[in-house]
Amino acid sequence: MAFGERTRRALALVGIPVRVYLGAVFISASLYKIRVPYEFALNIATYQILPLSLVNVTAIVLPWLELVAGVLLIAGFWTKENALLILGMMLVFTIALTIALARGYEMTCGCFASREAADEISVGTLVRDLFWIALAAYTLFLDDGRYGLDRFLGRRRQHA
Amino acid sequence: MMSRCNSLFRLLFRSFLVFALSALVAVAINAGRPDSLRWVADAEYEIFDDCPEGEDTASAVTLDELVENPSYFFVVDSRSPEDYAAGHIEGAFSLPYDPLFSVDDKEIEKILVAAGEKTIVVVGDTLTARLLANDLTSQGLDFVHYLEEDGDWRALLTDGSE
Repeated sequence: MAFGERTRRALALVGIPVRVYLGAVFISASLYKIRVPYEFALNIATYQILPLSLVNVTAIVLPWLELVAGVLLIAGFWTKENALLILGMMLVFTIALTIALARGYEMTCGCFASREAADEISVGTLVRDLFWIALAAYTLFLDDGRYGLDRFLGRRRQHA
Repeated sequence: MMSRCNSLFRLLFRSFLVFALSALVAVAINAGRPDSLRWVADAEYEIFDDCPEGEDTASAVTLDELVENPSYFFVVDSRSPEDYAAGHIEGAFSLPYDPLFSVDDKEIEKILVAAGEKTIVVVGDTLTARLLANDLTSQGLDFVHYLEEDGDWRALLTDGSE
């Protein structure tokens, strides 16, 4: 998309709170999963989508991917790459959630807190996920990363 | 065109690098923790939530109360269709109940229509009758009771063929 310089700057400025918010969401989502991997594995299994052989691997790797992508997104390092990863994760989560809702499962989404503390999945959860998808897409397509480490490191490389 | 391809390739490659780095950290941390997860679960996960017992919202009635005031109560039979067919209290409404599932709205509507102004009393084995009565109460039905005696009430059963 060809935007003028002023528009791109404005889009990148709006992108700062978007990145910070989305990154914070992912960092916060990762913490409980890292703390209690078994519980997260149980949550994944409850969706009844992945084969048993992939449940634990996913429960081990996914939270760290959320954490790393969230931290790097806030820092503005490889902004688009991390936005792409977050967008991908959100799409997968949303598809899983939609399947669970369609099947009528009464379960928690396993997104943030323990199963006891979290609310049951609902259309509201789906709307929330779609909102986060929109934010990730915004960062991927409209934020050129000028207000983050990307631009800072790029300048240093040019000076070197 | 070439530049776009390069950008896309770089985007995907770097994304993969972040993924690989995260996976590496995850593997290392998991290997070092005392409660580490096995790579592949060795048994199926028990995925059903515990059924909450919940508080009793429906109260019990005795067999004597039911026998003495037959026109006051509307009987809902929570047993299986086979048990109901084999014999049931005259005029009882059959509502086979599985405590894992709530009664659906259509059944609630049917009960409301059939019960009219009468007070609902659920019969069956005491636990199932109590759970069904609580379920009905939680779905907004008023004046729902369950029969507390298990066994004796079966003397009231009439031939299922009637």
